[in-house]
Formats: sequence, C-alpha cells, structure tokens
Amino acid sequence: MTVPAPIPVSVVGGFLGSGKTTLLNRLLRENDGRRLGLIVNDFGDINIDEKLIFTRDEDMVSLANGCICCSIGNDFLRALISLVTRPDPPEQIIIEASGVADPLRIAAIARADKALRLQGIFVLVDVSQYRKQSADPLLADTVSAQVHAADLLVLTKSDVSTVAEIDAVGGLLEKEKPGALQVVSSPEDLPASLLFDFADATDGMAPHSHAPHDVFWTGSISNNLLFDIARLKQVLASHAGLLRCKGLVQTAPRTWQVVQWVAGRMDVTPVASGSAPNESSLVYIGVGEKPMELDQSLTRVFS
Amino acid sequence: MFWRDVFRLKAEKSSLFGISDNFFFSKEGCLVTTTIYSAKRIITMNPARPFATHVAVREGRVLSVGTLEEVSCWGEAQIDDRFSDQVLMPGLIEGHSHLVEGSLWDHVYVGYYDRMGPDGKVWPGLKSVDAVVERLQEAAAAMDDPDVSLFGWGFDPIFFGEQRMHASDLDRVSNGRKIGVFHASLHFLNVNSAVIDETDLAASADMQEVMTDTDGKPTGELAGMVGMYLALRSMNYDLGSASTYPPALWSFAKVCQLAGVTTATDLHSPLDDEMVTRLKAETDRPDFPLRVVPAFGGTLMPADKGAERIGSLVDQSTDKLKMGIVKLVLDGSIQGFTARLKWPGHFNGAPNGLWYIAPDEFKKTVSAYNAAGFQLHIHTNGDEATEVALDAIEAALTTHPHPDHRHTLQHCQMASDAQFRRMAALGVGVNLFSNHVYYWGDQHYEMTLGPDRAHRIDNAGSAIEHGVDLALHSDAPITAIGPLFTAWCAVNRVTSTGKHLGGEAERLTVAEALYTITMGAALSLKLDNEIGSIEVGKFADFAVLTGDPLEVDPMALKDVGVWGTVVGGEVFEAPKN
Repeated sequence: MTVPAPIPVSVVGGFLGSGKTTLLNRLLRENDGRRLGLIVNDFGDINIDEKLIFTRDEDMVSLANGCICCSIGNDFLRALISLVTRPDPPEQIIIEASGVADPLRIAAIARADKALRLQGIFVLVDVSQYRKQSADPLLADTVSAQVHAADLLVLTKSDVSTVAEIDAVGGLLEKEKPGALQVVSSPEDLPASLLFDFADATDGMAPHSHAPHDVFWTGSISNNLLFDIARLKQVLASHAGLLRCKGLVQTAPRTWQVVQWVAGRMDVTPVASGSAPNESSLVYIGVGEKPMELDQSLTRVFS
Repeated sequence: MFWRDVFRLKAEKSSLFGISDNFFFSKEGCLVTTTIYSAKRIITMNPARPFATHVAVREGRVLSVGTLEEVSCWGEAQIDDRFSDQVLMPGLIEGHSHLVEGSLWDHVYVGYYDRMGPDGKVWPGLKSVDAVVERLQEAAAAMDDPDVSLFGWGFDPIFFGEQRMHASDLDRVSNGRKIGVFHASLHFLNVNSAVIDETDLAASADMQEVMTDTDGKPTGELAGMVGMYLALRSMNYDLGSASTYPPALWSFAKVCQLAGVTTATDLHSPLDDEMVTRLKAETDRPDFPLRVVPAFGGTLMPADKGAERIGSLVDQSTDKLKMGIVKLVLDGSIQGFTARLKWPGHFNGAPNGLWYIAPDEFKKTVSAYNAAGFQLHIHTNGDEATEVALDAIEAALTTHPHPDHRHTLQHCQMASDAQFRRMAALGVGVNLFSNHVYYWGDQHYEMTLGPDRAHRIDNAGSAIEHGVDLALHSDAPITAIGPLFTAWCAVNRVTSTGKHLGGEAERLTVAEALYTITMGAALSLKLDNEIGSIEVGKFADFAVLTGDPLEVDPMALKDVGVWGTVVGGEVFEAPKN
C-alpha cells in the first residue's frame, strides 16, 4: 500500500486589517490549476465569482477550478478534517488564522498529522498600524505572538506608509524576532509560489507574469552529482533575502529526497524509488537584490 | 366538541357560575384536572407568600400556593400527599452549563471527585493514576470491537502533584485499542501509544502542545487544538455534535433531574437546523424532564447574519425550548492561564491569556446584537476581559438604548468593586462560577492569582452589595451540575483543602444563595415571568428535596437530598441508588 504524500499546509496569520483576505482572494483567483483547499474565517469576505461555484453549502464552497473553500463556521477542526479526508483531497491547504489567533498553534496541528506537512507560517503586518498595535496594552502580546510565529513576515500597506515608517517597523520587528525574514510587499504582489508547493521542482517557481514582482527574483540549478543537504542548509542560511527553495535531489546513489525550505523551515522527505529523474534540481526564490555569488555557492552543494 | 357540550349542559344546570364539580376545561376544550400537592414546607421565592404547605397545579402551571384551605377554593381537586415529608422549592435553574455533559456519560468518568451519572449511580472519585487505569481496564474488558476507541473524561492531574499520566499507563489498559482521556477542562487529552504511532507526534515533540518526557519523547499528553484534532481525526470523536444526539440529550436531562434542576442552559450553541430539530423533538416529549435554554454562539457567523439566524428561531421556541439569547466568548480560563488579566497579571509569572475575539471586533459584535435587541451572555474570566466587556456594553447602550437588556457577564470571576459598580450602573447582571472557590480556590491562591485576588474570586457578596442581578453556575461538564452544591460554595467559600476565601461580606446567606439558583438564574435568562418561583401563573416546576435547606447547617447545604423534580406538573422521581 502506498502512503499518499502529505498535503502541504500554509498558515496565513496577522492582525485584523493586515491584508490576509486580499491575499487569499488572490490565491484563489491565481491557483494555476492547483486544487487548493482554503480555510477562511468568513465567506463573506472572500470574492467568489458566482459563475464559478460548483456546489455550495453552509460551510463549504466547491469551485469549478477544483478549489474548495471552507469557512471555519462552527468548527475549524472539522473543516480541516473534512478537507483532509475527502476522496479527492486538495493538493495544497491554506489556512487563514483569525486576527487574534497565534498561527503557531494552528500550525501545530499540521505538524501532528502524518497526512499534512507544514509548508510555512506567513504573517502579514500592517506597517501603518503596527506601532499603534504593539503599543496598545490590550493587543501588544497578541501581535507579538503572531510576529514570533512567523517564518516569513510580510510588511503590507507600505503604499500608505513613509519609507521611514517602513524602516522603523522593520527595526521593531527585527527586535521582536531577530533574524526573521521580512518582505515588504502588498498581498497582491506576494508571489504565490511562496505559499504553494509544486508538483515537481521545476514547475511554477516563477512569479506570476503579470504582477510587478520586480523585488522578487528566482533561480534554478541542476546537476547529476550527489547532493549534500547539510551544506545546502548552510548556504541557504547565509544568504539573506532567500525566501523559498525546493529541490528533488540525489543524496546517495539511488537515494532521492525532496527538499523543502521556506524562510528557514526545512523539510526533507524521501522519494519513492522508480520515480527518480535524471538529475538533481533545485529552484529558489528571493527578495531584494539577488546575491551575486548565490548560484556559485549552490553549485558547491553538489559533490 | 363533546366536552364543550357537556360543559354547557352543566353550566346551564348549575345555578352558580363557579360550578363545584371536578370538571374543568382548557381553552382547547380538553378535560383538565387540578392537583393539590401537600408538602412539609414549600419555599416559594415569592416575597408575597414566602412559605406555604400546599400548591395547586392545573394545566402544568401553578394555580395557587398557600394553605390547603386557600388553594382549595379553585374548585374540586385531587389531593396528592406523596410530598408530605418533602420540601418543595422552585425548580432549580442551571444558568451556565453545556449539553456536552450528556454525551460525556457515554464514556468513562475518571475524575478526582465523586460524580453522579444519569442513572443515579455515583462514580467514586479516583485518587491515583493507577485507579484511573483500573477503571479504564474494566470498561475496555466490556468492549467487543477492538477498532472502537475508548474515552475517559474528567481527569485532572492537578491533584496528583508532580505525577502525570503517560501513554505507558494507558498502554496497560490496552495496546491495540486507541484510548483518549479528556481532562476536566476539555483542553487537554491523554492518548496511548496506539494513537501516537498513527500520528506525527514523535516528530513534533518540540511543540508546546506536545508534552515530552526527560528523553524528549511524547508522553501522550496533548494540549489545546492538537489534542482535540487528534480525538476527532484519529479516534473519530466529535465532542460537539455528539451532544445533540437524543440519548445524550436524555442523559443531560437526567443529570439535571437528579440535581433538582428543571431548566438548564446550553451556553454556546450552534443552533443549526439539525440541532434545533433534535432539541425540539426530544424536549417536546411529555416525559422529557427539562426545559432547555440554548444560547446562540454569536461569533459562529458575522453578527448581522447571526442576528438574523437567532431572530428566526425566537418564534420556534416552545414551553420547553427557549431560544433567543446570544453567547459571546471574550477570553479563556484562569486555571488554563488563558484568561485576560489586568496588572499585575498571573501570580506565577505566566504570560497574559488570550483574546478569543479582538477587542475592537468584540465591540462591534456587542453593538450589533444589542442594536438588534438581543440579550447577550458574555464569557469573561479575567478582569481585563471584564473591563473590555463593560466598555463595549456601555458604548453599545449609548448608541442604541436597550431598555431591560439584561446583558449578563458569565464567570466574571475576578471582578473588582469598581467593576461591580459599573455593572450596576449599566444594568448588567452577573453569573458567577462559584464552584471555582472549592475546586480551584487553592490553585488560585498559590499559583494563578495569588492571595489578594484569590480572596475576591467569584465574590457574590459584592455583587449583591452593589445591587447587581446575580446567578451562580457549575459550567457543567467542567464541574458537576448541582445548584445546591454551587449555593454551598457561595455560602461557605471554602476550598477543597479547607481554606476560606474572602471575608464574611463575600459569603451569601443560605436564603440569598437559594434565591440566586432559582429567581436569580431566571432573571438572568429573562424567564422570570415563567420560572424561578412557585407563584400563580408560572410553570409548575419544583425541586423536591428530602431536607429543608433553610434548616440545615449551612455546611450541610450540599448534602440536602433530591427526591426528584416536577416539570410542568409532571412528576419525575429520581432513581434510587
């Protein structure tokens, strides 16, 4: 009996108004043919084109594009289980944490279930509101817990903030969670490839063509040599700006692994024999200025 | 038609309008009878007639209360002396409980304190992990299908000091069968190796939800949503929906009946169509011994849709199923360190608790339901949450005055004098969790809150002093339903180790405490026109007691026996065990 590959789960957190819904709406629209399972706080905020709705009941909407959207409604756990146990489970699950939830607590569920794989925790921070929120005695600890949970912090609403404000908030976030990766991006521009897993390593890493993702860059490398995962970890950690990396790599003769790396969170899963490709390949995405020496460092991961 | 004709005939024959035979006719034209119950004493909670010896019941309602002579003047009646050695009180009201209590009795009770099941059997409290394992072994031995999971509930390691229960303990019950043991709070779950092996817990041992031993291996003790998720996912146990199946509803009703309770709440209900249908079907049965008051979970959908939903249910209410109140949950629990506390926070330095809804969102939600005319029951445990709730109510009432709103704070365990003054000024009531004084009072003193705030926990005396409408509750299944025990807690304010919390002023008199578990709770549910006292026109709902709560030593109040109940004139004797 073959065990199906675990379903990747991305958790999207952030305080109310940080842009979570905008991001989810976009992912649903730009699903690139992937059957997504979205768990959202409330359908009311999600723009679902009525023409695309296949079936609908109180807590679940199936779309013609294969995506399924569940509202937490009465019971978040039941919504998640109903997705996981479907005869045609989604290829990717994305969970919207409520505005006051600690995304880490939700991510813990994905980690405890063998059928799920935590892809990453993405926390959106409204730059224009962060200082006010973190100074509010009622909210400070809630917001701080969200920042601590993040694999990747996405600084949103930069269009209504000054550069000085963005820098200041970036500094506060760095103080709150030193070393956490930060990206300044509107939810509309964040590459979907950060939150999605891909059917094969060479597919879909490129940011969406029509969106102005000039701050994001991608790269790829392939090779028929053996691959050293420990060395890869060092290289990835030493390059600020790298956000996501995925590879299908040969770590020993006839031993193939899938390597997932999202903002510091690494997962390695063995690949069933028989489906091995000709060579190891690695694709990656980053933000800011692309480090000149990155491609070269990565070639040294092979030996 | 036949009986109407007979009536007309008799009326014509009789020269008196008040005919003196035993035939009476309801508006439907059916034959009705009057029954007069005699009792050793009737404590009515009606100030105009506080005590009586006889009560006349007709059409499920109280017709008259007084002496035999007084209650007989409504015409001929059957005299029923079965309660002549008993004391009648108004049916007791549990103002904050959860239907899930009923479904838990399908599983094995393994709590520290004695607890009575729906059949009247008392399950002795278990004082060690070995005793828990032994009771589970007995239950497992009686099960046939090895694929069915075994569940225990009510477990509380807080009483076992350093000792925790491990998967290896539960493996002594059974290796193959999956086993889950819910803690009393329902926020923790212990599982055995059969469950652990099926999950990825071993790889997740670095998470705070997964307790580990000194070798870093999961012990099987799981916190928060991870435990609940695995119960549902790996063991197929759905705590929520199990509670509305008819057998669970009956178990709940019987647990209530045994405690003298004739009206109980389900203080956070989804109230979807399926649930409403089930509740209606069961409560409609004449032999169902309970009135049920579910509170709609106000954040299960956006407030505008929620108001529409609950509004559509009000008219579907019946005499035994009252819908229309709304529940909101603002923070967590004190003993779980998830309540929102004001300065100086937790005594042991634990970080402040959790908002279940953001304060601003909460404010909007309160405003929406208040404007739509609904009564809100708001869960606040910590004093910071209470403050936010009062701010929200004040703002909502300023924009949308709502006469006789009776919004009520539920638990509200840490309220200060200043907060009680605000409640009084805003017309907000309170339903305090007095059982906490006994069950967790010591933990609050030593660990969660420290002496100052432990002394003022669930300060019912202050509530009355400030003129705040007061009820008391058990929060079943968190603690057992038993309003007389709850009243005992508020009267004596003694912890399980014998420590007294708060001064004399915080203690209620027995009379005050009995008022809170009848009229107090009725007021908080806006049902004081129907229940809460034995008074002409109200439902004939009685708690039948074997002793007189006003005569016993206040320390013996919890031991006053319950013979059974009367609900709408139907007599329900408790099984003897």
